[in-house]
Amino acid sequence: MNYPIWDVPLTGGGLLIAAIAVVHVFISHFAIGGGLFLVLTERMGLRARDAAVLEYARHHTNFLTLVILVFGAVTGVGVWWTIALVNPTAVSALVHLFAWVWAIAWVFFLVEIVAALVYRYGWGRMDARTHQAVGWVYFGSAWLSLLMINGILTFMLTSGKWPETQSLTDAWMNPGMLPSLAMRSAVCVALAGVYALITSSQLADLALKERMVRYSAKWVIVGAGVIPFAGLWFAGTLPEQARFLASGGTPMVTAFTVASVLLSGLLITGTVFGPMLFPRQTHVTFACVLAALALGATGATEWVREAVRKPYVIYEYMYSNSLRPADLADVSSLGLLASSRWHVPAKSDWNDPVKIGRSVFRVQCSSCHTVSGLNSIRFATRGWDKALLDQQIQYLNTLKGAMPPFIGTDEERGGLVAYLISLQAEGPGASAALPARSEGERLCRR
Amino acid sequence: MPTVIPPIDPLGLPAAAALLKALSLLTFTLHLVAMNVTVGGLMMALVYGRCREGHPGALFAARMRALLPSAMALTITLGVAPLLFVQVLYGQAFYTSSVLMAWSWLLVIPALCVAYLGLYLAYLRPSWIGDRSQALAWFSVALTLLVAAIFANNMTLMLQPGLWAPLYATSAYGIALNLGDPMLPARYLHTVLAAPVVAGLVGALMGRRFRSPDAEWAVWAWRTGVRWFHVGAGLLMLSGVWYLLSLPPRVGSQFLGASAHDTGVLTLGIVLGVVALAVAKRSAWLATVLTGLGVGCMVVARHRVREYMLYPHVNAAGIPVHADSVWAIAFAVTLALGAAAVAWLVYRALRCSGSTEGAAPD
Repeated sequence: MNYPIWDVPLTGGGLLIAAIAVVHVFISHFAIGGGLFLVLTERMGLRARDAAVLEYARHHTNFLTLVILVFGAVTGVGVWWTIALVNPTAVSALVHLFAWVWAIAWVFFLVEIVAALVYRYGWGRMDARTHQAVGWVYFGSAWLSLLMINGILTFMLTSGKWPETQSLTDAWMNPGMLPSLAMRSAVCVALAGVYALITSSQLADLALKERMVRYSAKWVIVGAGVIPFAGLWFAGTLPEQARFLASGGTPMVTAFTVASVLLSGLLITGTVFGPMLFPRQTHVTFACVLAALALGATGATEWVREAVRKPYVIYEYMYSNSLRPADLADVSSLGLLASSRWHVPAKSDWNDPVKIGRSVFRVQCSSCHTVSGLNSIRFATRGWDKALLDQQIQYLNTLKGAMPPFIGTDEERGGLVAYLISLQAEGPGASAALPARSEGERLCRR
Repeated sequence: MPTVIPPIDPLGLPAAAALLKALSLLTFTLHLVAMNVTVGGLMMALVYGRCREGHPGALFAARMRALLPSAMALTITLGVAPLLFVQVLYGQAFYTSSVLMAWSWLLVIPALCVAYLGLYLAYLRPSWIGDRSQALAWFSVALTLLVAAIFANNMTLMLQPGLWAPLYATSAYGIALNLGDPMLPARYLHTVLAAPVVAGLVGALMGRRFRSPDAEWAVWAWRTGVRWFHVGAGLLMLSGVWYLLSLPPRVGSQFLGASAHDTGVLTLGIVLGVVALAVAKRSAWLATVLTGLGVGCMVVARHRVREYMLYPHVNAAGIPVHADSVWAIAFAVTLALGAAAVAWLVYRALRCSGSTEGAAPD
């Protein structure tokens, strides 16, 4: 409402966020876990005076520090970059509230990058004790940056006491913070093992391969084994509405929840019956399949985390369409478009309900719905008649729990109905093929 | 023209605007230096990478290449903080211009990833790509220059509230650019020309560092670095004049006498640059310190341009402050500890440079 809206045809902006976010979460978590993996593997090699293990750890360092950290950094910026394009009002709120938390996370991140580069450079140059210390600095700062950012992510879902106290400490130390931190830390360990399986499965020395593949598999099993318990702890902190959405309230969200559990289960099973039991036979292709399962599980879990937040983008503070519950009364009385800075129709358009409705749709619906693409509003309302549309919009939040209430005047609601009806007329024949849903059906649906 | 200035975020600023501005300027200066080392270093590595084996230029390019992946990683990381502070202070303008040019703004992310990958493959894994490493490195340079152009576009578009509504009326698909703005080419050129200046200093400092074991090469590196510094700084000053003249008169005049403070900052920056030029042949370290201070002055001048351009539409000083001193102190402590950690890490890295003994066999 306060910012211009970026029209992304067919997919909407949400898919762009999801694509970058999933890649970032995958990379950043195993970059953190990878730090711990490197330090502990190096220590194992040093204690055993095993040059082969040390050489393996050194080889593993190159790719992790020089590629993953940078791609982790760029995609991390990319996530907020994209969210700011799709929902600038929400990012503005998070940036203003959590500015110091971001700033602290940035310091840890900077230390992490420098430590990772020095750790890589120090192989074969530093004495072992110093090199280990650098490695611990790398892992410690990486995990601390996760600690800081995790509080912001969980705040968006479990805002805790913040709405009453307005305290940054309450916002950051929200109910979901610690369980999510436990869950993400476990994910870091599991993903470190997943990546280590890719490198260890390619070792030519079979005796070394057996040791390192089995060692890597233990990381996956330990990490993935902790995730369900931490996940249950996290689920216990979720608002009732969010738990409802994830456990049957919305078929799509439930499907993704099931997918997350199934993929995680497959990952553990595949790791036990593959690398753990048959380390010498583990091929890099199989390791990549396990990585794909881990990516799928990460993607599904993140998708669920985003989806159960609806109808909010910041729980109890801002709806997914950037409107705030606190502004509801003012905007409803003044009018959505009159309150909007960017989407005021031209004077000549005020008499055209369809044009008013198009503007209302852009301001209030387009953050989740496209016209004809992903989550298409034309498809969602196909066959609905004027009375049913008006009824649905008027009681949007009670009829559809994952959606915010309609905010606007009666005239604007009428305009939105007229616009959605016009879409059916313009559409690829869907409305012609389907009978209009009647008053009787409407009552049945209620 | 309809009013399209987004409202101030109701959550306000987390500290006094002056403190946030100071942090913004400090972190942006660090980012700028790292960026100039990366882009200028890439240019130098490419130019001298063509030298035949045995020529000092070949070793110079190799040593410069070794720096670049780390320099790029630091550039990206150091860029995060000023990006945070610009959102806190000028989010109303920054988010708006970003949305207007959304697709090109988003292009920065894949462009940086590909540029880094190209750099990594070309300079750290050349055996993987054979004789295409030079072409890949050129491609990385082109991408970094493209990223700089996109940034220049957004940073100038955010200063032009009068353009926002017409651009949005033309298209809401995020395809706008600020190509009609006379500030854009001048600002872009000024930014890009700073790269060989700073990288030239790095080259000269490399000559100092490797002086003892490699006397002949060190002299060559020293002279080459200073030459890049001199030529680059001359061109930089010319582009600075163009940039100053491209500013709207009400803004440009502030640096030409209307504001004693702003004129003083600009003059100090120029004087520091000229003195750095004069002493560069005798002391690269002194020239580096003076250049660093000069860059700081220019960053302040750039900040003042932004404030003048946005006033009165966007005014950070007018945003209510909801300060949280506990978290501000926590940041200060973390920053101090982080700086100490970085200093220790760099010290350790420098101490072991050249050594090949240690934890694992080579």
